[in-house]
Amino acid sequence: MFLKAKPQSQYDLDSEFVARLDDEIIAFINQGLDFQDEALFNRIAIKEFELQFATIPPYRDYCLSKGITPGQVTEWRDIPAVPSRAFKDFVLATFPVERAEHAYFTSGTSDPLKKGKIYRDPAAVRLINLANGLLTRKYVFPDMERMKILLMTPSPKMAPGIGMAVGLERVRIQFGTPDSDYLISFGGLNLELLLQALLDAESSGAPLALIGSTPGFIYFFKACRRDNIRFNLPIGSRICDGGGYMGQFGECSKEEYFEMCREILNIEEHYCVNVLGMGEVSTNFFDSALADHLAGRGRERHKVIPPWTRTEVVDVDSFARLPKGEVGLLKHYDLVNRSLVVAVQTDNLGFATDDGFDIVGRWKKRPGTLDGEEIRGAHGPKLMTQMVEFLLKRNLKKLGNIYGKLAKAIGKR
Amino acid sequence: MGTGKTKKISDELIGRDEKVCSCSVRIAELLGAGKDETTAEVVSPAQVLAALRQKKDGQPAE
Repeated sequence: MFLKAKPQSQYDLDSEFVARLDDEIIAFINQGLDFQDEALFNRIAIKEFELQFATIPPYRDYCLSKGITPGQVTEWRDIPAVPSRAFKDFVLATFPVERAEHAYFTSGTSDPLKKGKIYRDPAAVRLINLANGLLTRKYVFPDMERMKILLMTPSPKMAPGIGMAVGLERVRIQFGTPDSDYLISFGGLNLELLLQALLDAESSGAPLALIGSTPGFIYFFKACRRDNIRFNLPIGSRICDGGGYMGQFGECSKEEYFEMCREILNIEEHYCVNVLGMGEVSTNFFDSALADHLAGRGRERHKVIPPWTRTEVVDVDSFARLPKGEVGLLKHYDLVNRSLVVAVQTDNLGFATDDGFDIVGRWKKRPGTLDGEEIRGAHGPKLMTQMVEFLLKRNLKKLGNIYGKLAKAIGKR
Repeated sequence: MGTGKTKKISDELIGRDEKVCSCSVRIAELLGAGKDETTAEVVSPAQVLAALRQKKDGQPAE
């Protein structure tokens, strides 16, 4: 008796369909960060939707519940966006997960039953590395081929389930000098390594890059403040953080964070680059600040929307698209999400700007209430988070415009 | 395939994601973030810095 081989599907990982799709995505990314082709983006996004509808049963059911099938979709905006929470409850992958090269946890909760995973096959890993490599070059290292990088994460060997650790290993390999290193071990923060590197940079004059988890940096800054310790890092040193100012080590607004970077390390605000990265969305969204500063552009800090992605802001109740400046939920469409789902509806609150978008907090729906702690604990500037909390409770949404005017008036932006 | 927590994907899941950033939550745990802990109790840069400077000057660290 022998088992019959499973019939090949048109959408298998090894199929011509997936290979061609990946080639098209790679070609799109390789056009660079100034490339715009709406028709091509649309065509690839719809092709990805076709693949994902065919290969991910829970997503197919979701689309069918909305009465949407690939044959009906002619515009990327009509592709149903999966709520980010769904990644915790379902495996959303276009291939058998035993073939995954990446497998990240999506949830920080201690309940193992609620831990979801993000899976990527080897070809999808190549896509994410290509896309984020290009972005890291442009927005973190536009002026340096390589430099010493200290990573405020554990190594991927120590923590293979932490997406940030795996992603930053690529950054270390691609942009770091050989003396670059990880700052977090099983024993916690390697303070000796960090302090020695800061002292070395001061005495050598060689700029240093610090990259990693925002709460990790806040943890260190607060300890330095308490001990009255300051460093005078050379010009060109930079700090790139991700994860939000979440409050594990006390509250910290965006303004306070920039102030601590300047006060503790002598890193000016335009050398501070915040990144919005999520397991569910492959492409990272970088602050424009450093690239703009070095190019002599005086634009306001914002998150850049790369050509192979689209970001929309939608109403928290109706999910209808909102105009520029109004605060709502961020919805991302990412061609690099070939192995997941191309459209993801997040719980992040933000607003569209002239050149991109900004994130201000976190939406948490509870019957009749709004969780202020969650909002305060996310990414927002101090003034903004207080306004979000106040105004959203009253269902007022002209927040971005109001904040823009106020912030300009008091010189906070 | 699901864990049994939710049977279907629906718009009801929007606004019900529990954590801001899973990576940072886990990293903060590794750094010792806890309900009753503060930064002050966890690391002491002044102490380590003093030891490093003593080492540099050729004196044994305390």
